[in-house]
Amino acid sequence: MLEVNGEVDIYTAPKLREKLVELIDAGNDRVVVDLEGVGFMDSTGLGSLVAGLKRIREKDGELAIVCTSGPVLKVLGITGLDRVFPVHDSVGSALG
Amino acid sequence: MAEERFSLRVPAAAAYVGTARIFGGAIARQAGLSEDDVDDVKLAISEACAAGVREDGDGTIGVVGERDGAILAFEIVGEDIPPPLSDDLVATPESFRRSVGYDVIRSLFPDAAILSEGDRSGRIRFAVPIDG
Repeated sequence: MLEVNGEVDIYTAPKLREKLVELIDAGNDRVVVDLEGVGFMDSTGLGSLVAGLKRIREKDGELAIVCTSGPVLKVLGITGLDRVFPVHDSVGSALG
Repeated sequence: MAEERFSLRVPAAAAYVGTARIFGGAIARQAGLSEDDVDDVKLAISEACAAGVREDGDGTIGVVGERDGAILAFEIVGEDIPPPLSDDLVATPESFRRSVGYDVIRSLFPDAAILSEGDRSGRIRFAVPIDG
């Protein structure tokens, strides 16, 4: 599981991408990204999640998101990515 | 002439996008917008500024917020805000990233304008009605 906190934009998104790649390349084929601590995310942050998703799918893995934050859900909805990622309202639900 | 005008100029570097976002959010909040609308303004400014970020951090990005009557208008100006992609152009990862950002801005503010002077220098404008 990857817990993300703060704001994810063009400045911080590369760090998110790096951490996701690290986790996936370490052999994790089921990754849960917990965005509950994220108050803001723009499309550059989504780009990092999409990069992680592409990478894990190459290994037949899964990447799920935990998110209840309005602003983050909104950008996921605008871009249609809420239909691409499994979005859960709790870590328990994502892991279950 | 606008009743109130606020402006900020920051380096065209990724590290300053958050500063521009906070600036825009503060103007929106001070104008009395709902928190949902403040979030939309912050997202649009973040996308617009991200479009103007240069890898070398050279140049600047300007953010202007103007309140005129019941309208709060924003303009983001950068030396490196390219025009939206034409359908006949092949997207690079960078141009595709910007294109997604422009789509997000237009989804939030359908009347948003992305104006270019030549291939690079451009400005992004959008406005929000102020209730009450």
